[in-house]
Amino acid sequence: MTNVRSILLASVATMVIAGAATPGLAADQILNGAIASSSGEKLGGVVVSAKQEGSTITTSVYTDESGNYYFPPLPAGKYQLWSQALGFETAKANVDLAAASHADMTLKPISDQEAMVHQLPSELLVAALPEDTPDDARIKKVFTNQCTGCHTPGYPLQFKFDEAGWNKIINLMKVIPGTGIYPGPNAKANAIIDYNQKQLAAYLARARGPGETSMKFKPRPRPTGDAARVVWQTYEVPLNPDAGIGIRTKYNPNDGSDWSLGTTSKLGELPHDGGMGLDGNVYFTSNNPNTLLTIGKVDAKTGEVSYFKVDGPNGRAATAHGLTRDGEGNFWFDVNPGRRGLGKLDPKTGKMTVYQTPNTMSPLGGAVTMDVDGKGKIWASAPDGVLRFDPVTETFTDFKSLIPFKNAKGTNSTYGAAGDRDGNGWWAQMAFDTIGKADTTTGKTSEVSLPLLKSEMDKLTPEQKTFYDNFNDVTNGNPLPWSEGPRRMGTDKNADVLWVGNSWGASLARIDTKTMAATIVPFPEKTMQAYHITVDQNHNVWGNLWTSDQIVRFDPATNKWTMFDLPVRGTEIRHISLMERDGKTQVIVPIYRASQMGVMTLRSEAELASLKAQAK
Amino acid sequence: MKRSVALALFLLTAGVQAASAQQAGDNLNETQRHGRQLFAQSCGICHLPPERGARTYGPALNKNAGGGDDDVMRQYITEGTPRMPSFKAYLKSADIDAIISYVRTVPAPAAAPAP
Repeated sequence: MTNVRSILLASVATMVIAGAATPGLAADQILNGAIASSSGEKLGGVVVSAKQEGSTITTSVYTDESGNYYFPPLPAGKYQLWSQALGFETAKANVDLAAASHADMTLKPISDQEAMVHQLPSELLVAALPEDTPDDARIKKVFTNQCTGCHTPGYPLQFKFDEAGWNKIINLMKVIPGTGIYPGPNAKANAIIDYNQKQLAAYLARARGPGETSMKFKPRPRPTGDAARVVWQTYEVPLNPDAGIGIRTKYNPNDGSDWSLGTTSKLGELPHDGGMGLDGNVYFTSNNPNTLLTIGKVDAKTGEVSYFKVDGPNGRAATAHGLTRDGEGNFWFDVNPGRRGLGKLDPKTGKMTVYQTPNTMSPLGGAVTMDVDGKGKIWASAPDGVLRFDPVTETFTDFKSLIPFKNAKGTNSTYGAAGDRDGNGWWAQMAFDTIGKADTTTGKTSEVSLPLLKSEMDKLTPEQKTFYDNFNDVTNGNPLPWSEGPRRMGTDKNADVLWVGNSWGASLARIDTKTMAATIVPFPEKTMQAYHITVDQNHNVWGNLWTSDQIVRFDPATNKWTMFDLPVRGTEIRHISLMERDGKTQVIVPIYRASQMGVMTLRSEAELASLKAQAK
Repeated sequence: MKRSVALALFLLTAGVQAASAQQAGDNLNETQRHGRQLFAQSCGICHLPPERGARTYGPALNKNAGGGDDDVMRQYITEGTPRMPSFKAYLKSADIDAIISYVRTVPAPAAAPAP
């Protein structure tokens, strides 16, 4: 145990910066209607979105199996209404709820192939990439492993270039670091991309080039059941005014709500991790360097966004990455005012406190993930292990990875971290397919090694295998083909289970927190790259899929997977959290690329029946 | 020893502004707005800074891009350069016109004062 040294920060400020129209005063209305194709077929699983004029909040629901939709009660006012389904053009309408609460719409099939491709989510674009030959399968893996660290695959796959053009794109991409900032001429190239560049450019040109495409597109069933009863509320977050198109406009010109616009640019986006406060409002961290905020707050009723700022170096706000909420409603996050420490926000008072790690320990770092264990202690990633913080004594304890941070094969930097119900800590050493355990009773560290993807090794020629065996710059974002890639994680606080999202292996790792026995649970689709995992009170495992416009729920008791579609295209979500109270479950996701915050609320069949009975 | 310091909170309320009103009040016409969206999505990775003051791979574009000659800009976008790919397989002619139309609304930076 060590003492805490808190540091005084120059200022913490909240600034109200954006708002939405005040909800109407008239009684709320249940907006409803039916969606049919132009041939008259009623369409289930179609997303229908409504946005009040002047508002920054979009509410979205799905049609039931009869093609009918029912919004939750909405304030009277004038709304833009639109409905979308893959393979159909977006249908739009204007509705004045003071005059009418029923609106039917007709969807017209898309006839243009490029328009159809443009509206596809990343997971379907990747699924369509060819993999029938060993070379294609190998290069597809290079694309999904090496070309998704900075962007969801739907971003590059929306473009069409010839082979020379793709080569020029790769010339830039292979030298761009995780910051996204071009380092200048003669920068060191990513050796794996460099090694595969010629074949990668040719592969992409065959898939997305001027000629006939090698991609094979397959339709996907639309949402049904639980997935079609949800309500999404998505909140626009202003762009960073110093970055991307944010220097020219306040909100993203393509916020992903109109699928026909394709996958947006992420430059200027702000939210990273998110959560709902006990006040019902939505909070988020920002790790995009900016001058305005460390933590953002979205008023769930008005959409108004306000900022909490810890001063950082050079006139900037201190950045934050991970976020979690404790049992009292406080948010905990990492914060970087110059040396990365631990931050606490009390939403009731707006008071922020920064706890700096002692100089004898590593500061918080890596891709910091936060969690509260079953004993009320806070866990956070450190570059070379994990840190525990006791909010009562305000002291840190550190635990180190057994694999050195810098070693002969690369960099072993911590990604996810979590605490279990017994008060022990866990962390992911993503580049080395290893999960660490901090035993707080003994003070010792132990590790679990995940099995490697032998099937990926088998795709390689001896020469290729030799190249990877001699590759000594493995990092979290630059993996070997056979890596599982354990990224972020969550524990079941009502069981002895840790669930880890494996990005490269398209799987979950289930780890028994007592025995440390590990089981790999493959996702139903190999396009699903897990990012963060959280577990609800009923043992259901929830995960965001950063390369899919979907989130996933897994019921380990029945081995049932449920996919929930987002109403937004190009989401690239990096975090997921839950709010469970009063019998309701809400899922909170920062819609990273499109700079929005999303809240998904599950609705029961009885709730839908009630709305249907009330609808006019 | 513990020295936890409570930090002051200041609440600054700026003008509350509706999103769509802000976007609509940007003095751009529909073509220029379309061009802005395309520019951000297709050109921003090389021509917009990922953070304040950051170096970009391509030059910042403004109304003087291509010497102010629309045909020169159209040529760059359509045919590419030694470092930039040709966008002719992706962008339609009207899209390219919209991008140029938007870029022409971006003011050139003020000249640096003489040393």
